Amino acid sequence: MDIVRVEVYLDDASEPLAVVTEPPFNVRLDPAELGEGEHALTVVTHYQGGAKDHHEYAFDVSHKNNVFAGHISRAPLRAPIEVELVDAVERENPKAPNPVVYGLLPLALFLLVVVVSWYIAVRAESAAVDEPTNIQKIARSVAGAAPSAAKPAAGGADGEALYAANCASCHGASGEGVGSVFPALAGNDHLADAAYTIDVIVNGKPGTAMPAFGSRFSDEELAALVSYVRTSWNNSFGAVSAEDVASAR
Amino acid sequence: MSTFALRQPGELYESQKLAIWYFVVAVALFGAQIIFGLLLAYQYIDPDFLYQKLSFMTNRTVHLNAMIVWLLVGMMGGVYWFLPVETGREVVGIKLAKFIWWVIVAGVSVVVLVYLLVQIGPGNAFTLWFINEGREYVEAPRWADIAIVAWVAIFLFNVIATALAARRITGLLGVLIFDLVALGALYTAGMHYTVNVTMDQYLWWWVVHLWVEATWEVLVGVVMGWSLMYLLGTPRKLIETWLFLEVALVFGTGILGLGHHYFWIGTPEYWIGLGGFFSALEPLPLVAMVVHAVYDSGAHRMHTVNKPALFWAITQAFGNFIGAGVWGFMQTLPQINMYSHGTQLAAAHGHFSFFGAYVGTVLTLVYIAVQHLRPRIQIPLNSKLWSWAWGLLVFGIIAIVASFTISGFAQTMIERAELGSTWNAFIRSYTHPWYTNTHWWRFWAGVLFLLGYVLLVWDLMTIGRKPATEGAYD
Ligand code: HEC
Ligand code: HEM
Ligand SMILES: [Fe+2]
Repeated sequence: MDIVRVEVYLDDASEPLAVVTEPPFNVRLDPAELGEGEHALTVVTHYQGGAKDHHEYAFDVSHKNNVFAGHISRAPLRAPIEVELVDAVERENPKAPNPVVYGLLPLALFLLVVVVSWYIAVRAESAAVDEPTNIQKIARSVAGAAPSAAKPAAGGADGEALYAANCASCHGASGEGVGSVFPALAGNDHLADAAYTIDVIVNGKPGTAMPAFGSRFSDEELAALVSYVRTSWNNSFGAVSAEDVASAR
Repeated sequence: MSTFALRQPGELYESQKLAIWYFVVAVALFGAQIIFGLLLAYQYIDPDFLYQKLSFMTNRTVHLNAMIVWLLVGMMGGVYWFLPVETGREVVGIKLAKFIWWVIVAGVSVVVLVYLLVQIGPGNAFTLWFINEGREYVEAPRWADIAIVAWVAIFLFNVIATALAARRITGLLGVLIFDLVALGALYTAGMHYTVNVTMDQYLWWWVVHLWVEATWEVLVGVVMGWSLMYLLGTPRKLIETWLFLEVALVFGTGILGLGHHYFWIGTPEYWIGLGGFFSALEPLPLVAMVVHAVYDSGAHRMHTVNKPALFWAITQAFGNFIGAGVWGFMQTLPQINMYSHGTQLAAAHGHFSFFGAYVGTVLTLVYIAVQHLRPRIQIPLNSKLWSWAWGLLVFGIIAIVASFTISGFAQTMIERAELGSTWNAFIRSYTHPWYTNTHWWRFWAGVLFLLGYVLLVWDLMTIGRKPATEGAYD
């Protein structure tokens, strides 16, 4: 869009400072003609067809050409300047601290925090008697653990559910094991030896991650477990009975 | 190009001489931290290495405690350096300060020797008092804890008495005094033994979180304020205005942000909401610090009296924001933390934040002090070596953090999200190549970091002796 004219207003004047109709659209501002301090410049641009734009700019005028030493590095030095050698805040008389606010109050706060932390610690010590927490068994929901058509192998214990809840986390939901760390039970020839299998599950393997389950389950449950791992996932090593487990204990 | 100022360094204040001792010990302990860190990195690769002679847990204790101590010592050294400049007089109680300092140095040596030679004790009161109190990061036995509280109390006395004697209080001094109150008093929260592990952790986090994310962060605001005034000549009004804003934001978000450590340790459930909300706002003050430092340096077109110190100051601002703010925010929402809690993502964040926020601060302070140790003051202080040290240290930590982040990501995905915290999941994530390979990266990154440290020490001993040669970073 073509610019028809640009009006420039200074501060809150109602009459424009200048009206420019031709490029370059410039106006000259001379600080000598302006008062010390903050000013606003309003630029109104009129376009062909009646549209117009408004822009406001703020700027500062300073007749003292001086600068604080901390600021001399902020712009290249082009003209002689006066440099303020002392920070404005430092020039004021230093404030003397009030000994109550900066002496007693910190001390009081220090003691307060110590007392609060001590109080909580003492309460913590008396609140908790050193006895085993009453842990409730949580219903397990390991993937694939949903007790499907239960296969009571021996004495009504559910080998599949017991396996899912106690063994699958290490040996895998389908006995596939994990790498070289947890042996696969599916297709594992060691399981052909019933006595060995019972022994490992009842007594664990000391020195390895394989825990002992003998004290956690009844003979029926252990028999169900052993039977389950020996007869699932294409294993066909046969079931064992509760009596087999009992005699192996 | 640099020149020498006509000025000879004046007599240093006694307090500044003490500060130099603080810096020497800080940098030495930094070295110990790195050596033990490398040992840990190697034990990840070969867990049998030095097993039961210097086991992983022992080395980790030394690695972490050395870090806490050297960073605290470095920042306190910064206060002893600037305090007489700020008040225009010698520090009151400087004799006491020197006495407790040598007690602390002796104490730290004994504690480290006990860590290394005795290592563990039976679970009774004797062990708590004399071997190891057992709370990570602040494992010092109880007798040493008491010495540390006495140390901070004397330090606080030095600051208050000097301000009162000089009859001068500034915004920076006021903030410092109240911050030190919290810093000293909160340490006592880590000295209690309770039988209930939830209660124990509840109080322990007062030291760990309220220290590093509140009181240390404010202490950094104060010493970096003084540093920027020294390095750039930033007017005091600007510095103090920013400082007040930062303090308000740090305490406003950080105190309840404590809740992000209370999500899963048996504390009441309301902490999930409180901690999630307030800790998510914790990066705000860190943004403010970046804006402040970068604005000041930009406004001065990086013209400074001390190049390495300014570089470390800018590194500090960005490192603090990215390491603490971004890497912390990444895992602070409870919905995410449920999966990432306690994985190597926490270690990634811990390394990045401590390096960015505090190593950056202490090295800024050390370089400022070094400028005053030579027969004539070089302006700007500069050398070629410092930028190599800087580059290796920064590259090293970024590579260490990257490998922790990748292994932490594998853990979060495999061990938690996909397989749901089973043994199977644990083994799969610990044997996944993203987990195992990154151990090697971390080790080699650590070697580069150590090299950076060696160059840093070399530079600190030589910088400013002769005018920097042409071509050095200008
Ligand atoms: C904590 C993980 C874990 C759990 C849970 C676990 N096992 Fe094991 N199991 C192992 C490990 C590891 C081995 C291999 C021990 C070795 O190094 O010989 C193993 C070995 C075995 C073996 C012998 C395999 C062989 O090839 O010799 C059998 C059988 C077995 N486990 C059955 C079970 C049963 C049944 C359960 C559930 C009642 C179970 N395991 C629970 C980790 C586990
Ligand atoms: C300089 C400031 C900071 C430092 C030095 C720091 C350091 C640490 C360290 C060392 C840990 C590990 C603690 C452990 O379990 O042993 C940690 C944990 C954590 N930090 Fe920070 N941190 C800082 C700031 C922040 C910020 C600003 C946030 C959030 C926006 C944050 C969020 C977290 C979270 C959520 C954890 C717990 C991770 C988990 O659940 O495993 N941190 N921090
Ligand atoms: Fe935290």
